[in-house]
Amino acid sequence: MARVSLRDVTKRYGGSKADAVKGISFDIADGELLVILGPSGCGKTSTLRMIAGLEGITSGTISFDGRAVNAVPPARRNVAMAFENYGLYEHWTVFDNIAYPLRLRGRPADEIRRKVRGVAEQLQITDVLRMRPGDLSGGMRQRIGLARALVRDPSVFLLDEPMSHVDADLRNELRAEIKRIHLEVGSTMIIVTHDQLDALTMADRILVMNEGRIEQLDTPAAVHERPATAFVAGFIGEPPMNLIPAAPAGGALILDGGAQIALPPGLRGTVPAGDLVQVGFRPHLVQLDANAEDGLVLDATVYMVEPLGDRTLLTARAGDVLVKVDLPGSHPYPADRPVRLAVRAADLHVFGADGQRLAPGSPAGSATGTVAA
Amino acid sequence: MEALTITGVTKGFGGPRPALSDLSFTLAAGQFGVLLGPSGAGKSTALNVVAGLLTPDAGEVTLGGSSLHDVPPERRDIAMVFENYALYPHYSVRKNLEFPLKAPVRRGKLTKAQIAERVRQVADTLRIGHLLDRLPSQLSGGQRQRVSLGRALVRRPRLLLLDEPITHLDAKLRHEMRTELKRIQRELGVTTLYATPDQGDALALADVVVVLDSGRAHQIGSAQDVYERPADVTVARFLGDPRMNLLQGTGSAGSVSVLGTTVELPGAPDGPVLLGVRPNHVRFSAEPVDGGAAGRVLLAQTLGYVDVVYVDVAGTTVRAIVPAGTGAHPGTPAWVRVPARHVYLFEPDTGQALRQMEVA
Amino acid sequence: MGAKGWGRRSVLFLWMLFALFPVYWTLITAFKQQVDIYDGPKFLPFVDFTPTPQAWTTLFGGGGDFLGKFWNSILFSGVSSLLAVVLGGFAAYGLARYRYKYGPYRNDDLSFLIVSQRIMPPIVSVLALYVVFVNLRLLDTAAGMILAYTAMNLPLTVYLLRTFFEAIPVEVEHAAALDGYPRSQRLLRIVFPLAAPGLAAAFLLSFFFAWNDFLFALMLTFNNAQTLPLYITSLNAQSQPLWWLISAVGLVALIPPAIVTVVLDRFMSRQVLIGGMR
Repeated sequence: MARVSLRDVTKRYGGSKADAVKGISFDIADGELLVILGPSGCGKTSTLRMIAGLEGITSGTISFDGRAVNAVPPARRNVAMAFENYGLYEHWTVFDNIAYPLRLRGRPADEIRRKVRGVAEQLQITDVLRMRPGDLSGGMRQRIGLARALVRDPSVFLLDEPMSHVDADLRNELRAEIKRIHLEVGSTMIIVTHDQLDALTMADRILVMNEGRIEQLDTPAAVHERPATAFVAGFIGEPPMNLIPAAPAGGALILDGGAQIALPPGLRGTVPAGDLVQVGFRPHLVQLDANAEDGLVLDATVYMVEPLGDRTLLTARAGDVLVKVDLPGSHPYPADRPVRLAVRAADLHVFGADGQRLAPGSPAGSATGTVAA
Repeated sequence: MEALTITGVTKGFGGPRPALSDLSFTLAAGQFGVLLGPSGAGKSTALNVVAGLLTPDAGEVTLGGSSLHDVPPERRDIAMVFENYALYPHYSVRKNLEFPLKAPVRRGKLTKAQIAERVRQVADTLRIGHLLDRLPSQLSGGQRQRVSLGRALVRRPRLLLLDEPITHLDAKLRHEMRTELKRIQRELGVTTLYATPDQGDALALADVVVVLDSGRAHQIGSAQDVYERPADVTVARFLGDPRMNLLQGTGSAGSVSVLGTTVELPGAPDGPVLLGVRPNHVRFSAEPVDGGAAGRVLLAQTLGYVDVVYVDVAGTTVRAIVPAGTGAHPGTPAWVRVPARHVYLFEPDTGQALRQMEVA
Repeated sequence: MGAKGWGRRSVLFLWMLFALFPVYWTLITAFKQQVDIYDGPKFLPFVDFTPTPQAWTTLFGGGGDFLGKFWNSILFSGVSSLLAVVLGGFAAYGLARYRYKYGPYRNDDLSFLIVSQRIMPPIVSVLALYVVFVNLRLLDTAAGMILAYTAMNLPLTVYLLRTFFEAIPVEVEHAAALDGYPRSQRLLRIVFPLAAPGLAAAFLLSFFFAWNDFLFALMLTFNNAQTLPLYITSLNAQSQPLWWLISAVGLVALIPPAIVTVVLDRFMSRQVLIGGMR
């Protein structure tokens, strides 16, 4: 168990002109499960590999429990890493695979047996200890990879894209399982993923990265409900937040597609005219054919209806703008049917020209005019 | 616009069981069919057989009423979008799009100007006009996906095959592409067969869903059919996210006892049954409720718009969906109730459906 | 540029001098006379000694058979390498894309069998080849030498090209099939261009082997089909080595491989451009 701190950590690869990781700082509490989320090339894997010690640090400090580990080789950091592709030895039994890190350290045989048994019970793989990994399913192999990492009692536990080889229908189960294992063993855990659903479902806190920088570090609920940047808003959610370009005009914002909303009072005078901002709202917080007293009302037409069993995903079109609406129940609307979309003022988010969040999420409202699309 | 008929198609690769066994279904002209199943279910095998890239051991594929038996792939006029996009890396985007139009089988059918016009049209539709002079290696994943779709559509094929085309895109792009794909398919009216492991894709896109597992079709029907009236446990487990709870129960005298509670189900068979209920129909409460089974919260996850709570009831885990932000803390007591009108029953050994949910 | 950059440059410059010195030495030797060679080392033309074109006039004008040998070398190396790449390419493509079964032998076994032909030292096979050539009347013929070099190079090209073809995603070929291109067209338009770096590398290695071969030429030729390496030793076989002639031939022998390398290197670096196939 350990606290992990990064201070102004930068990574530049030889031959590259730009930093892969641009001076990031954050702290991971003892026993926390942190998920680093971002698109490919955002620097998340570099960050993880620097924490593991597999990659040198260009500048800055990484410390475990307040002690800098920059110069400590990976083997002596007491970190365990489960790789994307499992890295299991196919010709060994599952037991031998899990026992390997302990044998490497010359632990006595009875301790090895006890520890492997213990971790196998935790992960519910005692039945397969005599089998070989090649005969087992992807989900099972993933568990064996986890078991091998866990058996050492590492102070920090690192997982690189743990879901990428797991079938879609098993993913949610494995997410729940990793979270359950974390609750049980309580070690500090860092997971890297590009899948926003992995992050939402597993993390205590999510670190969203983009282009080598930190976009936001917060709990899943906060990242979902109060995204710090337009990037976070557009990256998280299934489907992600609707983002509509808008231009400030007096005390209002005029959205592409025709609607307008009142500028939240706190923002009046702070958004220069001519700046392009973005107005965002979650698909499931749009009401259909309703009126929002002080929020957004957008007249649109049905572009596409995608039934999802108990929900319906409706895409509406206003001018050039496409808006996703997530509705409970079944709505077999024909294409081009006019719909009126309404979003409460409290559910609107405003992001500035630089992508940073402007509105606190509740633009306490004055009257709002609507313009037909 | 051509109808596709697949009759008794079987294909093995020398393993203990065939990759595809006795698959039969029909897509009417212009329909959108989805092959839904986990990896190894036989989806790609089925697409490759239809494309002519694999020869089936038995069975027949007909398109527009005529058999494709012995027709090589280059003469089938079927287009396919591959999971890895399979663009020609040494050709520019423009040459990739022109490639099918300049094929030997279509030589002389289009003038240079017509080819240029077709490329322009499809590039406009897919918004890749500004990328025409780039090489595939200079494109992002989403752009490659569009080019690969453009290459498939540019020649107006008789049939469009898509093998997990949007699996590797991020959430935002995946949703955009899915909507666009459906829109384009409607506009062009091209008969389409789409393979995916994602039940959301299947429900959102399909006129006809074929649920495949281990090479066998478990159910063929409309999206609504397979979601609301699953033929067996495999289908029930596969449709719906998070997946359906499947609980051991015992039926007697028109009711089923499950999780230590009794659910009134007139017509339920006597003896052991498997009871299915979707997480969004499970009633979750932090207070004791009438007819609720007592348990403890194992963990809570957020999906963003809702939370999923895992409740342990005497060793059985029950998933319930609750509004976002109301998920309880691990370890706290909780009660879950299974409402009778949202229950499915399955035969525990064969997995066959015994009772469908009452559709309100 | 900092001190570090200059330091690095001067080290590289010294290394370059070291590496290029043999070429320089050969070059000036080709313009020396007998007395300049045996009268202690002389480094600078016009200072240490007076250059003379004597070696060159002997080679190109003196009625010797230098040009014939030169042509033989080019012909044998060029044609045999081309054959090895084309035939090896087909074999390698087959091994990469189809599954074979001959008795207990699968693709990997076949591949191993083919490359195992090179485990034997050439001296062992060349003796057997001699007997075969005598019986087939191939001794000292162009056809015989091309055959011998092609056979010697095939295992290498098959082995090398198989990995290149395997690196091309099969879906790219499938896409071309569905786009309306029959097999021959798919090979021509998709597979070979994508395997170009491999084809170029295979050609280069084959060419070098044939160009520099001494053993085969020694055993299987005596007059008509002799190649440059053999010609050089014949210059060496007099009472005294004719260093100025040997150097001149050596210089000329440098040129074709250099041209082939420069031309093919462009194809080999195309890999970088293509990228992103998966």
